[in-house]
Amino acid sequence: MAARPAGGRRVTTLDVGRTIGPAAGQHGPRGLVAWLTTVDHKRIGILYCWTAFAFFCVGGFMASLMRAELAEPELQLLSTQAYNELFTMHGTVMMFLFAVPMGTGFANYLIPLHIGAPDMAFPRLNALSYWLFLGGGLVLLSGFLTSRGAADFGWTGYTPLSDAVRSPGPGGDLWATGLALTGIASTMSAINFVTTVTSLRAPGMTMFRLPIFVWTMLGTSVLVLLAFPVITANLAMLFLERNYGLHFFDPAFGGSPLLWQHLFWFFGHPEVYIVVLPFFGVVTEVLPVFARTRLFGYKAFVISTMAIAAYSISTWAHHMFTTGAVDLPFFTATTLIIAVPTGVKIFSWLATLWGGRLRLRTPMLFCLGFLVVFLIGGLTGPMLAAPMFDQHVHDTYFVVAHMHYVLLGSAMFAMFGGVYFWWPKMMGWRLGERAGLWHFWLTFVGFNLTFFPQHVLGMRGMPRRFADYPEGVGYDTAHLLSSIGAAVLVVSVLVFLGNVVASWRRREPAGDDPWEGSTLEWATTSPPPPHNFDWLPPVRSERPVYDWRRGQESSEP
Amino acid sequence: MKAEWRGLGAFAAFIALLATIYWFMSYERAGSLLLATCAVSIVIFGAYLAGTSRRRAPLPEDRTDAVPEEGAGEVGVFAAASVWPPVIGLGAALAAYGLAFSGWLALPGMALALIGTVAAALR
Repeated sequence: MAARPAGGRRVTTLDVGRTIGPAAGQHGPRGLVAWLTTVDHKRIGILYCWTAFAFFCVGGFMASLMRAELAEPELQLLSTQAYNELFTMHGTVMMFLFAVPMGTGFANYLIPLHIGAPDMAFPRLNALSYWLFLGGGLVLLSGFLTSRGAADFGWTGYTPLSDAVRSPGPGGDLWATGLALTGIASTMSAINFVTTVTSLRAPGMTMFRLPIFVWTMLGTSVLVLLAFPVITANLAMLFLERNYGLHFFDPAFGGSPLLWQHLFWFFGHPEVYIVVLPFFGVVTEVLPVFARTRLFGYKAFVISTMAIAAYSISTWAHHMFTTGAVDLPFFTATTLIIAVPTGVKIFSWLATLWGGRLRLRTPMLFCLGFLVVFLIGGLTGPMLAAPMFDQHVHDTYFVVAHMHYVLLGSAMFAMFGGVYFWWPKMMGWRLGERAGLWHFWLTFVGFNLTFFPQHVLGMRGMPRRFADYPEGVGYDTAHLLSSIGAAVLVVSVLVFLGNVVASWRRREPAGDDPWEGSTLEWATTSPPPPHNFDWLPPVRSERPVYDWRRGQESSEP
Repeated sequence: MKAEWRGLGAFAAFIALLATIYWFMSYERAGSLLLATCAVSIVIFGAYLAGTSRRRAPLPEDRTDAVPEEGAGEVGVFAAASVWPPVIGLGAALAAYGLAFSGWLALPGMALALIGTVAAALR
C-alpha cells in the first residue's frame, strides 16, 4: 500500500508559503508554540476535536451526577439548585461545545483533504474561530465559579424565567456572552467551509463528485449562516433586558415572551440538523468503504441532504405546540414531510449494506450502531410531530429520550466511528481493534440501557428537569435502569481513553491507506504533509482513489 | 459554478414559497420575516456566484474531464503561523467576562481584541 506515488502523476507546485510543521521545517515555531500559533487546518481540526471531546467529558460528568441523583427517589446527592444548574449547563455544553464543534473539527481536518486543496480559504480566520470557541466555552463554564452559580434556566433559556428578576446573578450573563462567542466562532467556520468548497476544489472535482461529507458540511454551513445570527441577536436582546432595562420579552412593557421562543427555535431547530448532518456525512463515508461498494443513490443522497437543510428552517415551532399560539397544521405538515428525505438517507444506507460485502471493523460497528439508534430516535420524531401526542408527552422524559436518541445517538456513535476511521490518517498509527470492540459494545448497551427506559418514564408522566420523584408510582425501576446504563457509558468512555493510551504506546504504523478508502485523503501520506498533497490522482468519479487503485491493478501484467 | 448558483437559487425559491404559505396560514410576523430574510440572503449569495460564473471561463474543477496538471502552479500564498488569532480570542473572552462583571474588564478586553485585529490585518 505504500508504493502509492509510483504511477500517480506528480503535481509540480502545490506550493504554499507555509513554514510551520515538522515536515516543512526549520524556520517556524515548534512544540507548544507551534500549536498555539498554528493556522494549519489539520492542526486546527485536531485541536477542535480534542477540545470538543474534553467538553463532551465535562457534559458527561454533569449527566453522571444527575443520573446518580435520579437513581433513587428523594434527594441524596444534589440540591435542587445544583440540579437546575447541572441540567442547564449539560444541555448547553453538549449542544454548543461538543456536538457542533466536533463536526467542525472533522470538517476542518477533512474538507481540504477531501476536495484536494492545500488548506482552507481563510486559514487565520479558521484559527480565530477555534480560539473564540475555546474562550466562549470557558466563559460559559466559569459560571460555576461565581457565588450564585451557573445559569439555571434550562439550555433553552426561556423568558421570563431567564430575566434578571427570576434568574439574577452573573451566571446567566456569562451564559449569554459565552454562547455569543461560540456562535460567532461557528459562523466564521461556516464562511470558511463554504468559500473553500466553492473555490479550492481540485481539477475535475465537480460538485457532483464531492464526497458526501463535504456535501453535508455545505448544507450545515448554509444553515449555520442562516441560524446563528438569529441566536446571537436573541442573546444580545436577553443580555440587554437583563442588564440595561430594555424590554423585548416583557409583556408588561409591550414585549412578548413568545418572541424569545420564536427566535430561539428558529435557530434551535436548524441547530439540530447542524449537529446531525456532519455525522450523516461521517457515516456515509465509512459505510461504503467497509461494505466494499459504492454508495447507493449518490445524487438522491445529495438532494435529500439539501432538502433536509431547506425544510429544517421551517419546522421550528413544533417545539412550541403547547403554547397554543402557533399554527399547528403548518408545523405538523413540515415536520412530517422532513421525515421523507431522512427516510431516503436510511434507504440509501441500507441499500449500500445490502449490496456490499461487509467488513465488521470498529469504525463499521459504530456506524451500524448509529443506524440502529438513529432509526429509533427518528421513529419517535413523527410521533412527537402529531400535536395530540405532543400535548401528552411535552416536557416529559419521552422528549428527553427522543432527543438523546437523535442527537447523542448520532453524535456519539458517528463521532467514534469517524475517530476510529480517520485516526490512522491523522496520527499515522492505528487504534487497537480488540479494545475498540469492547468500546463499541459497552457504548451500545450502555446507551440503550440509559435512554430506552426514558420512553417509558415519559409515557407515564415523569417530567423532565425534576431532581426528585415520588416512590412507588412506577418511576423507580426505569430510573434505576437508566442510571446503571449511564454508569456503563462512563466505563465505555474510559475504555476508549485507555485504548488511545495503549495504542499510543504501541504506535503500530498504519500506512497511507489502511482501509482501502476511496476519497482523496487516502492518496496522501499518514499524517499528511503541511501542504496536504505531493501528488493527486485524476478525479473521474466520486471515488478517485478507488478508480486509481483499480487502474493500477488492471495495468499490472 | 453553475451547480452552485442553481442549487442556491432553488433553495431560495423554496424558502420564499414556504414564507408565503406560512404568512397566509398564520399571519405571524416574527417567523414570516425570518423566513423571508433567509430567502433574500441566499439570493444575494447565489446572485454573486451566478455573476462570477458568467464572467469567467469554466474552471478546471467544474469540468468533468480536467486533469491534475491544470491545477498546478501557485495556488496562492497561505498565511504562516500567527500569534494574533489567540490574542483576539483572549481579548474577546475578557470582553465577555467584562460585560458580565464590570467595564474594567471589558475595556482592556476589547482593546486587546482591537490590537490583535489591527496587527493581523497589517501583516
